[in-house]
Amino acid sequence: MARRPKFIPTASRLSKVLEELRRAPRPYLNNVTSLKLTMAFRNDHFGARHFVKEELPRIQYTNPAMQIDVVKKPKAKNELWKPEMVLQLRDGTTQTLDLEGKWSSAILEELMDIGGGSAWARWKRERLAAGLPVVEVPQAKKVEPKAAKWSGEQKKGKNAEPELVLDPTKTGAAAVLP
Amino acid sequence: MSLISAALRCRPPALSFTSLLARQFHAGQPLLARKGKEKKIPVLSKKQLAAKAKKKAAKAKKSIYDSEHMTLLDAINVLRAVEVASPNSTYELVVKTALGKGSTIPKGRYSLPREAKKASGDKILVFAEGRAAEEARQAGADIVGGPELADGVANGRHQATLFLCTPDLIRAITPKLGRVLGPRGLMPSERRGTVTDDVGGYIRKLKGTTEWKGDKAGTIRAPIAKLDFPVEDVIKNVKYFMTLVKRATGNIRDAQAEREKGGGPRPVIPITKVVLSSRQGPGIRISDV
Repeated sequence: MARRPKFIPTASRLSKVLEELRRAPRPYLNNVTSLKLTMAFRNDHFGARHFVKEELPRIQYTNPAMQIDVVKKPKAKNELWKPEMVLQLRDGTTQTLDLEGKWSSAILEELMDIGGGSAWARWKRERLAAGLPVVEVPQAKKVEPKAAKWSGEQKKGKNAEPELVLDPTKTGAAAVLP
Repeated sequence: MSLISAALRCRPPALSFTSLLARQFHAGQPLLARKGKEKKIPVLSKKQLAAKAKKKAAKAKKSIYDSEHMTLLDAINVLRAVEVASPNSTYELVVKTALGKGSTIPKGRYSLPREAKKASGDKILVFAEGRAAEEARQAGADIVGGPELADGVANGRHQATLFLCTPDLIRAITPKLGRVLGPRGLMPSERRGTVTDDVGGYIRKLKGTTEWKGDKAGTIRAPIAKLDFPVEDVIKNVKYFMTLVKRATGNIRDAQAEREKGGGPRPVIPITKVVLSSRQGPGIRISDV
């Protein structure tokens, strides 16, 4: 019988979630008591949606007492309304941010500028002094097209098989056979 | 012919002489020397066996995830953060118990301080006649009838999630329904209190409660709260549910109830872990319940 491969334990789901929630900069929002974000249920307002997915959990985790509401409204193609975020500040005033066309990183930076306080100011100074962006801009995952990968490998191989020449007028095996 | 005669000629002259020379295996010298020195396999007492098992368990490899505990409050905060955009999802509590051989599956009924999920009421079928039947109907039983219902239950025409019976009818229905309801754990029995004269009272007592029950492996799962509940309500619900489970598994002793039931103390079913999770969140082991 074949020997069972040794099981190498990976990071648990919980530890991954915690790592993400505790990532720097921790978004302490001491001046904000509640936050309400309104956006399209689907097919639009992608920056706001990305913000809700990536940054809002961190904000809730860092500020457990903050009241956060996310309103996902159905939106038809012909409707024209913008995603927005309404902030209730500690001094009793409300502030509305327009999220139209903004990236999640830009939304976070704008929000932290309003409610972040001194800790955020320090973070910003440090980042600018180091020549880094204040908030990391999300990068798209690099996806290598499968076909290109295949042809690359074939070219690298020393004794690569000759490329198949397909006869476009024939189908199936007949296209390959002489 | 010649072969046989040769064999005859070779026969030893005297039998008594051979028996003296022969080595007999059951009485050889080495064997005799070894006698009395055989190793005895020690018979361990229960205490020693327990100690042995304990040593073995201590040596066994532990999962690296075993150390990932959290307090209830921390766990709630993590789940609330993960589910920030879906306030309608549910906290789920999973309690794992180590069922021993022959221990009964823990179960009971509960109604949380703040209801998490609208209970879909039981469908109650009552075998009763005369006044008891009238009472059951008034208390809210769905199907009430005499032993003639038994056939309907057996062939699936009458479906119910709870069966009650009066003591004078149980003999009539047992031969027909024992095989049908027994394996499903629905057969009325005096021990469980579902064979009773006071059917109406039993139904009234059930109103507004839901059943919780461990599965075959002893795992109990229950929806415990909604994500939009305040944290205090969630904690209250979890604490309440855990006391119920502990009482049913014997981890909290209820001296008075035991005296009423009689018999010796029931064996304790240990609770091995308590995990809180939500729809999309991670499962988190709770250290302080």
